[in-house]
Amino acid sequence: MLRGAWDRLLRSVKKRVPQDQRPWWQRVFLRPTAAAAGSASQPAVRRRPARAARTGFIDRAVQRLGVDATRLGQHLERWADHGWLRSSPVRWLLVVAAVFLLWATVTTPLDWPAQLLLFFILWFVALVVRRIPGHLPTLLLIALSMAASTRYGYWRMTQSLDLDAGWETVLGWTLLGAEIYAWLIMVLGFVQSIWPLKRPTKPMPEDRSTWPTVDVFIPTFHEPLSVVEPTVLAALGMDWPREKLNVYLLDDGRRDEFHAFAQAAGVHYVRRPDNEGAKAGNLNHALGISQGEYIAFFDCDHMPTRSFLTSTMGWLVGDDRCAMVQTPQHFFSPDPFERNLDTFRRVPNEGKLFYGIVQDGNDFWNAAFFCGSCAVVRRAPLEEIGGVAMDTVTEDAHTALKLHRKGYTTAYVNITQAAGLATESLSQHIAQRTRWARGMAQIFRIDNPLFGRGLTFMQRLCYSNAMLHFFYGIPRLVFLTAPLAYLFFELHIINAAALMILVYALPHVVLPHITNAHINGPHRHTFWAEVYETVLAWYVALPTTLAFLNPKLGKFNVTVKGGLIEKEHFDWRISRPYLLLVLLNTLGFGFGLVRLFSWNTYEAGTVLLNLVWTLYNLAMLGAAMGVARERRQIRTAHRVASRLPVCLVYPDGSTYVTHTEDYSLNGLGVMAHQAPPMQAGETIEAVLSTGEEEHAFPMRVQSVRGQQIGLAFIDLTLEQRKALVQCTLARPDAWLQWQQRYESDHAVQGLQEIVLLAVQSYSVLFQVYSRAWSEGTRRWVQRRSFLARSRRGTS
Amino acid sequence: MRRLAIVSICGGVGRSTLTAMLATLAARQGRWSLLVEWDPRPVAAWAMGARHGGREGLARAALDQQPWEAACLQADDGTLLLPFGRLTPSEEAGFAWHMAEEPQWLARQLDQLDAPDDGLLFIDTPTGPSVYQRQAVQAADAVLLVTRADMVGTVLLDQGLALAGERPVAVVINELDITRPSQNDALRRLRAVLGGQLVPYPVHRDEAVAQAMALNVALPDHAPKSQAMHDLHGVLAWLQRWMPSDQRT
Repeated sequence: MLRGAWDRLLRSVKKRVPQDQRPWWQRVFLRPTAAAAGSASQPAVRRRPARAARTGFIDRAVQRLGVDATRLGQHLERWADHGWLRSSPVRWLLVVAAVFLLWATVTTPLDWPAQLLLFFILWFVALVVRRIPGHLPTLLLIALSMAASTRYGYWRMTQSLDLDAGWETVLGWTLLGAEIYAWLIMVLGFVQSIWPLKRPTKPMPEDRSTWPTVDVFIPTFHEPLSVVEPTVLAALGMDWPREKLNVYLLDDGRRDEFHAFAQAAGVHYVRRPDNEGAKAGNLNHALGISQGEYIAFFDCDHMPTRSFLTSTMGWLVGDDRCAMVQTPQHFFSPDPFERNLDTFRRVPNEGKLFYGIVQDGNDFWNAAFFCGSCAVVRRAPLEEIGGVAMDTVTEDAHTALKLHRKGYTTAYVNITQAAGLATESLSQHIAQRTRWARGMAQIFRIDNPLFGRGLTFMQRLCYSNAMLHFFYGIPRLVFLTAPLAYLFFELHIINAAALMILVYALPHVVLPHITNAHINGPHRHTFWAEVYETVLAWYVALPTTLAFLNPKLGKFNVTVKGGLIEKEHFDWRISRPYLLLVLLNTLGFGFGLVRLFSWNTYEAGTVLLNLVWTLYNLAMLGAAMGVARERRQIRTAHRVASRLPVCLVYPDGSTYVTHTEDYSLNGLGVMAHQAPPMQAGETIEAVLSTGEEEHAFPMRVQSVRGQQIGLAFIDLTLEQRKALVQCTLARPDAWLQWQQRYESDHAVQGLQEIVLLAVQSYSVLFQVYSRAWSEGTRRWVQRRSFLARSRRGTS
Repeated sequence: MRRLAIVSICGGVGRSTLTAMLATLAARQGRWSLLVEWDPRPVAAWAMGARHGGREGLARAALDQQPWEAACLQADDGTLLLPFGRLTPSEEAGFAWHMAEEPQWLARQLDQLDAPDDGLLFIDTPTGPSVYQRQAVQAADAVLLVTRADMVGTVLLDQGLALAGERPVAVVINELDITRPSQNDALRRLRAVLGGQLVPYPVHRDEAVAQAMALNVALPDHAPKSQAMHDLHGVLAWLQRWMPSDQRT
């Protein structure tokens, strides 16, 4: 009887508390993932309590020094505008002084206390300068970082390359090569983003009868109709004179249902007899059969807002030499990083750096390049270069390069006017990035921007940076395995005292991080770049090398969009390289501990340095493996968390005005504080607004969870689906609030989060392996006992 | 005190009900708000909740040579109502003849009112051009034309705008049913034609209005989160920004 009561009590407690199946030490130290907490139906967006802004001690120190950062910034700006700075002899004098100063900074040898002091001074100055608003402090930070890194480079090349012959030389020079690559990318990156242009929109002329004709190309291959339809409907709804807008659906899959849809929607359907040249061939074929003066390109899942053309065409219409306007490609569904690491809308994703800062920086140097989608191109220049480039697998960047060589200009308007679906799984993501890397390597080989005519010097640098960026595979792998050379084989590939390495490398590591955080700020959080690169490094290393050596290798592999992950699983195939690296690093760590305590106690500093480096590598690799743990996706249409005003109309005619919590093309999630009670299964109407017009949609109540009501659309007609797209995804303001939800960048907290992610991944790995191990052992024991029994039976 | 005359060119557009709701809402927002029912048909007073109205009113008092302030009623939320009064048909004809002789009569009466500067006065008028409508327009600072988003509304738009004479006029759409494509079309056309003259908040058709009327409850109490309330807030706010200030003081 007591036991029965105890069972009942336990059952009641367990019902209230979600089951957390993890071992106790995980439950204590690690927060539950969505899966562990048993709530697979959690919405895509999990909001964390906002961290209160803390005034760090730097801010307090600055205040105590009596430095008013804002006034100082204004002083600097005014000082820089002085007339005497513009005169030529003054500028030359400044250049000479700067060069001398740089030479002095870089080459003066210091002993380690002085170098450490230098580091602290530089660090403090950088942190103070960071807080001064304006553009000059950014330039100052760049200068400090370049000085610190170059000083490290000089010391490295002169003081640490005294290597023994054989493996030490080979590995030492490999590491140096990787470091030179990283330094080059850093310098090019600084130069490229030194002055983001932040181009505003240019309004179109008042007289709409003078507006030109625009063709919209939407190529598709094997994506389902449910993905392509909203894009076509959104394109039809763009604000442009109806007779001057032609939408072309380019179907390389030659599917009849697409043909029927195109006819019903009133767009042109283009079908070619073969699939020669994949997407580029498809676009060129359509180029031949259309006549619009301008062409807007959209991937089949990138839905433009109403204001796309009116925001971008202004720059093209006013300037004859402008051949292309590009806008950001935004994704409203989480990519594998965001989904599996749970950073969606908290940490900017991998692409945000490119569309947030890099293209803006490129635009300043007139080097903004075409990204294949969400862009408008003038027809005449495009035909002049022979259509979309078909020689490489990244046809978009190559097309822009050719346009630049002909002397045309390009523009980048950094306002999100279209949004689409991110890659669904890690394998697709890697396939897509590998294709980009391969393509960029091909372009670097066959149409190198550093040579050839038609480009300005800065354009060459910007393009080279974009292409060289994709060669990070091998250097990243080198960095991930470099400490093992000492830990396994006692090879001193950096031949210097550990203390000296530390004090020289610290400014080289810390200052560029601060500068990058300052420049990239809202577009890339510190340390996440390492995770992104670590995940992709193995996979881009080989294709880029191959493509560089022989550009003809490599076929176009299409990125799949719109799939669904059936159940949560760990993508073992993808993670095999990481596992290998983790294994190597763990072994190295073990070796390192042994060396520390018995074999190499005389050079404990070196061992410690290598151990710390290995730990850092392990953290990054752990986070990388976390990405391979695919979370389950349960919805077929992605939800966008957004507040839209909506009015619910009940069957009796009464109304209730409220807002949505989220929406998708299948339904709405609505907040209803004091609404009349509703039950699942009832039908009501929801009135949404496009901003100018209202539309009513029939809906069924799917779920009532407290104050939140889930509604699903009932059998919408094509016209209604078109209106729905205009009310939701195609609103001009649909994506403008996205950035505001990002948490601000705190380097230490970012590192902490990455380390915790790594710990989680390792624990999962351990669990899986220990389970497999015990399973294997059990089967082995069973087999042995079975064999023994059968032997006893026969004897 | 700013005065708004509410007119309509077609019947049955819900002008009196809308006027009553606007006056109530203005009072709920804390303003001095008076609704003058300058219409022999007592719909506005009934919409305000004066169900068991007596015979007193502005016209009744004028005919009986009595001070008309005594005929004023006040709702429990502070809205003031000046009904027209009960007249027999012959009395009504005679009164109308008198009003035609004295086009400034209403303006003179309203000038006697002692009201704060931010007060609002709503003058309800009968449908179409009439002697009462002309007097109301004379007495008012601005005119609001109530119409529906249908064919008749668009056809008679010019005649409706002409009712306002020289006063600034705005147009508000009432009883909008967006599930009907014809109404959506008419709305678009009216927006294109009227531009800034059209109040950007059309008042949607809402059963809550009829329900509140049937229950004799003010709409802000009956259905505060309804679409009609939402629209009325918008209309009132827009009117307050748009209406010119009192020219007479």
